[in-house]
Amino acid sequence: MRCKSIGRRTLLRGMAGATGVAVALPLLEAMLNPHGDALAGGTPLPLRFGVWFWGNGTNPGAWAPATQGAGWEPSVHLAGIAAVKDYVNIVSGAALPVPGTNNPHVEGAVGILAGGNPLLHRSYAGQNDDWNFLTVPSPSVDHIAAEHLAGTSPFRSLTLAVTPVHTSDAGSSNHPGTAVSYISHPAPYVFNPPIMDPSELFALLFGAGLPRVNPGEADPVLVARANVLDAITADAAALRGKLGKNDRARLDLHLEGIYELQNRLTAVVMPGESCALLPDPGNPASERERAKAMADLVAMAFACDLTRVVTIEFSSPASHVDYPDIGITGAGLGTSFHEYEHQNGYNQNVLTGLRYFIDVFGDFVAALKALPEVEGNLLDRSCVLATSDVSGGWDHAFNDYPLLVAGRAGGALAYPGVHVSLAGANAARVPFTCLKAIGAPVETWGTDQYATNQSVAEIEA
Amino acid sequence: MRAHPIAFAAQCGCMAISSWLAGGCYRGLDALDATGSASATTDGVDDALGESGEESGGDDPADAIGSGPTGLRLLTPTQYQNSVVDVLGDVAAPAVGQWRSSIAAAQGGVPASGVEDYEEAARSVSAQVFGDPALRMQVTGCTPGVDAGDACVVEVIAKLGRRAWRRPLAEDEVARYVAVAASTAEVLGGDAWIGLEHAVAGLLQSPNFLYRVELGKPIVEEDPLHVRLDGFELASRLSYLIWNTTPDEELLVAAENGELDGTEGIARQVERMFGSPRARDGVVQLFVDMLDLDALMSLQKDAALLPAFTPTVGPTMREEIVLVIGDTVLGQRDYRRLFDTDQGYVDSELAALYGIEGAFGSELVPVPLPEPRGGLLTLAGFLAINSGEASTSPTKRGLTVRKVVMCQNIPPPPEGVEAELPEPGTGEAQTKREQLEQHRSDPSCAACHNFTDPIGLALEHYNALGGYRATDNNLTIDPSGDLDGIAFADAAELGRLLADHPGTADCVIRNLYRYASGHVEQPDERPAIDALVTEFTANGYDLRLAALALAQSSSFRFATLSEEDRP
Repeated sequence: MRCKSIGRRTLLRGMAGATGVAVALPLLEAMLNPHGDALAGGTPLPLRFGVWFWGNGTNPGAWAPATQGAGWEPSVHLAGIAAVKDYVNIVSGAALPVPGTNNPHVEGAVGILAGGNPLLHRSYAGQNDDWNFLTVPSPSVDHIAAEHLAGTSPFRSLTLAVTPVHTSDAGSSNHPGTAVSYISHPAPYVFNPPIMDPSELFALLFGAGLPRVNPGEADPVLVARANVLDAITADAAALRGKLGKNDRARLDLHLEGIYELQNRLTAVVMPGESCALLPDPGNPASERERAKAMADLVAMAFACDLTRVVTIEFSSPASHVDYPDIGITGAGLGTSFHEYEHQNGYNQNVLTGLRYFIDVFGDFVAALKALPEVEGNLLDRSCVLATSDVSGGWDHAFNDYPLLVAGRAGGALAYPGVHVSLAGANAARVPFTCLKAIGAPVETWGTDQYATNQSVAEIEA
Repeated sequence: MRAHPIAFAAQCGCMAISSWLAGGCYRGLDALDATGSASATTDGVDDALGESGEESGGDDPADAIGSGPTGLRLLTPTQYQNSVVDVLGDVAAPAVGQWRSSIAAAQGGVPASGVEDYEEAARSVSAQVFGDPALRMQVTGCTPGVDAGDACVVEVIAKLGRRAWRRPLAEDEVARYVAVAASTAEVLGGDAWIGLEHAVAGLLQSPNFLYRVELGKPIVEEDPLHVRLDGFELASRLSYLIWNTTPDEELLVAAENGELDGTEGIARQVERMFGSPRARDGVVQLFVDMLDLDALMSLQKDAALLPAFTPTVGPTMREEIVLVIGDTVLGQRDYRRLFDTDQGYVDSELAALYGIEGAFGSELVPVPLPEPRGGLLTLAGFLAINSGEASTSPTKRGLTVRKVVMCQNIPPPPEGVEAELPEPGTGEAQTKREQLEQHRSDPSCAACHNFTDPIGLALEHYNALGGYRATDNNLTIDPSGDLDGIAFADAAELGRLLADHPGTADCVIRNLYRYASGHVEQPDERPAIDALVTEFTANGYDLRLAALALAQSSSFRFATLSEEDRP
C-alpha cells in the first residue's frame, strides 16, 4: 500500500495547484553517481512513459522510411520528426490483429492501447451499432506504466486531449461506452477524463508557483486531509470483503485514487535541473499551438518530477473532428476529417492531414528534447509511443500499423533510432517493448490474439 | 433459472393497491396533480388486480428470481447533489461524477481525478455548513467539545452518518469518524467544530456514501446466490427510484422497523412518496436517462444558419420537456399523453422559436403549442438533440423514436455505404424526403430506412433547432407517412399513433425496470417485465402504479447473484 502515515518526516513544503507537494532539494550533480544515471545512493533517476495518439492512422504502405536500420531518412509523411529523428525508433509493416466484429476504430484503439478486444456494455442489449457501448477489457498501457513508474511523483499520470473528444456523452445512458472517446483507461468502464485546456493544466501543475524548496513543518491542513482519507480507506477495506469480483475491482480502483491523492498530500519531490516556472500559456485557439503549450508543460512536469506518465490524445479514434490549422473543417470541406477521408481516400488534403499529425507529434518530442537532464535531455530517460486506431482510415486498414517510439528509455532503446520493418508481425509487440524498456515487470502483454511475450529486439539497445 | 415469475409478480401487493385506491389514498396523490385532471380509472386497476391478494413476504427462494445482480451502484451526479443537500441542508453542492445514467453508474468506476473531485466537493460543502454558526447549529443541534468521546460529536456523526450512508453506522464506524474529528481538531488548533467539519467531509467521501451498497442477505443459508435486500437497501432503492435522492427519516424508520420486509409496507411508502412533489425528480430522471435529455445542457448548433440558437436555449428546452413530462406522466397520470399533448412551455426565447406571439419573460409559462405541434416528438428539445448542427436528420429522428421510445433495434448501415447526405447548398434544391428517396429505393438501404425515415420525415416542418419552417429549400414539405402500416397525415397524428402503439408502453416499462435496477434485463427477466407491462396498460398507463407494482415485485426485492458476484 502506498498509503503512508504522516508527520514522521519533516518535509520540504511546496504547493502544486490545489494540493500541496512536498519538495526535496533540487537534484544536484553532486548527488549523482559517476555515470549520472542514478543518485549517489543508488536510486535510479526516474524514467517516463508517454502515449501520443491520433485518430485515423496514416497511409499504409507509403508512410515508412525507405531504408531500414539506423540512418533512416524521413519520408514525406514523417518530415515532422526530422529534427528529432535520432531519438525516434520506427516499426513499420506490423499488423494489428483486430477481430473485425465491432467498430473498427474502437477495436483498433483498444487493441493497440489495451492489448485486447473491446468489451461491450450490457446496456447494448443486442444492438448492432456498438461504438458507444464499448470499453476496454483491461487497463490501458499507460496505466500499467504508471503502476510501475509513478513512485512518489504527485501525479500518477496526466491525461490530456487537444481536439474535442469524440463525444462528451460517454457515461450517459445512451453512450455508456468510453473507448470511442477516451484512450486512458485504468479499468473497464473507467476512463481518465482528459484535461483539454493548457491553462488548466498549468494551474494544476504550477498554479501556486514552483515547488518551494524551503524547509518547513508539514502543513497541518494537509495532515488533516490525509487523516480523513485514512478513515475512508478503512471503510473501503471493511466493505471490500463483502463484494463480488467485479465490484471489488471497482472499489480497488477507487482506493488507488485515494492513495494517489494521499500521496500527493505527502509526496517528496526531487525536481531535476531544468525545473523552472513557465508562464501560463493560456488556451491558444490553434490546435497545434495548444498541443505545443501542453507539450512544454508536460516536459516541465517531467523535469520537476511532478509526473512520470502522460497520455496525449491529439484526436479521438476515427478523427471525427475538424483540423482548422490545415483548413480541414466542416466549412472548408463540408464534413469532418473522418468522413472526408472515407469519401476521398488519400487525396492531397488527407495526406496533408496525416502529415500534420506527425508534425504535432514532432513538436512534443522536440519539447522533451529541449530540456536538459544530467548529461542529455528528457528524451534520454523517456519512452513515448505514438500510434493510432487504424493504419488507414479510408478503408479501416490494420496492416503496416503506424508505430513510432521516441526516447532512449534510460538506454534500453536503440540510439540513434532505427527503422525496422516487421511484415505481418503482431503490432502489440511494440507497446510491450515500451513497457519492458521502462522496466515494468511484465512477462507478457495483451490477451487473446494480441498476447505476446516478444519485444522488438531491433529497436532495443 | 426458475420458471414462474409472472404469477408472483402479478399477485404481490394486490391488497396494498386496492386499499390505496379504496381508502381514498388518491387524495394524497392529487396534491401532485398539477392540472387537476381526472385520475386514472380505478375500475381498470381493480380489474387488473383481481378481487383480493395476499400479502406475501416472498421468502421462498423459488420466487426470488430473475432479478439480476446487486452490488455497488455509484451515485449519479444528480443523485450526489440531491443526497448531499438532503444530508446537510441548504448548501451549494456540485453534481460530481462521470456516470450520468442509472445503468452506467452501476457499472462505471471512479478514476483518480474523480476521487479528487469528491474530496474537493465534500470539503466545500462541509465548510459551508461548519463555517456558518447558524447553519451548523441547525445541522448538529449541539455544541461539540474536544474531549475524547464527546457526546455531541458522537451524536452528530451517528445522525448524519445514518442519513448519508442510508443505514445506521456500526459502533466501530462511528468511532472511526469520532477519531477523525478529535485528531483533526488537535492538528488544527483545538477547535471542535473544525474537527467535526473534517469528519463530516469524510462521511461524504466514504464508499458507503458514494455507492449505494446493495448486498442482500441469503434467503436461506445454504443458497448464497439468492438474496433478499434488507430494509435499508430497499429504502434506498425506493428513494432513488421515486425521489432520486437519499432516503428520508421516515423511510429509514420504516426500514428499521421491518416495515419494508413485506409488500404492504413498501406500498405504503410508495404511496407516501408519490404524494410528495419530490416524486417529480425520480420520474423526470427516468426520462432524462431514457431520452438523454442532458445532451441539451451542452447543445451546439450552427448559429449562422440557426440564429435562434443561444447557449441558454438548450437548457431551457430541457426544462420545457421536464415540465411536459410532469404534466402528462404525473399530472394526467397517463404516459400516452406525452405523445399527443398540445401543451408546451415557453419563455421569450422559446416563444420566438415556436412562433408564438405575445409578451414572455425569462420564466417558462404554459401555452398551447400552435398547430401542427403535438407531443414529445414536436418539442424543440427532442427535435434539436436529434438533428445535426445545421440541418435536420429524418433518419436520426426516426432512429431515436424506434430505438429509444419504442425499444426497437435497427442495424447500422452496411460497411462501405455512404451514410452522409450532402450538405445543404450543393446541387439542385431537394427536400430531405427527395434526398432520402435514394435510401428508400435502394433495396440494401430500404429495409431499415423504411422503418426510420417516415417517422423522421413527419417532423420535417421543424428545423435542426426545433423551430417551425413552412418549406424546405423553398419546396413543399410532405409530413405524411405511415407507422407500421397505419397512415398518418402529419406529426400530430403520428404522435397519437405512437401514444397507442404497444411498443411505446412496453418500452417505458423496460426503461423503468432498468432505471430501478441499474442493469439491462436478461432474457430470464423478460416475463417479469411482461407482467408489469400488462398491469401498466390495464391501469391506464399510470407510471406511478407501474412503479408501485415494480417496487412490490420479486425483481425489486430480491436478487440472484452469479458466481462472480459472490464475495
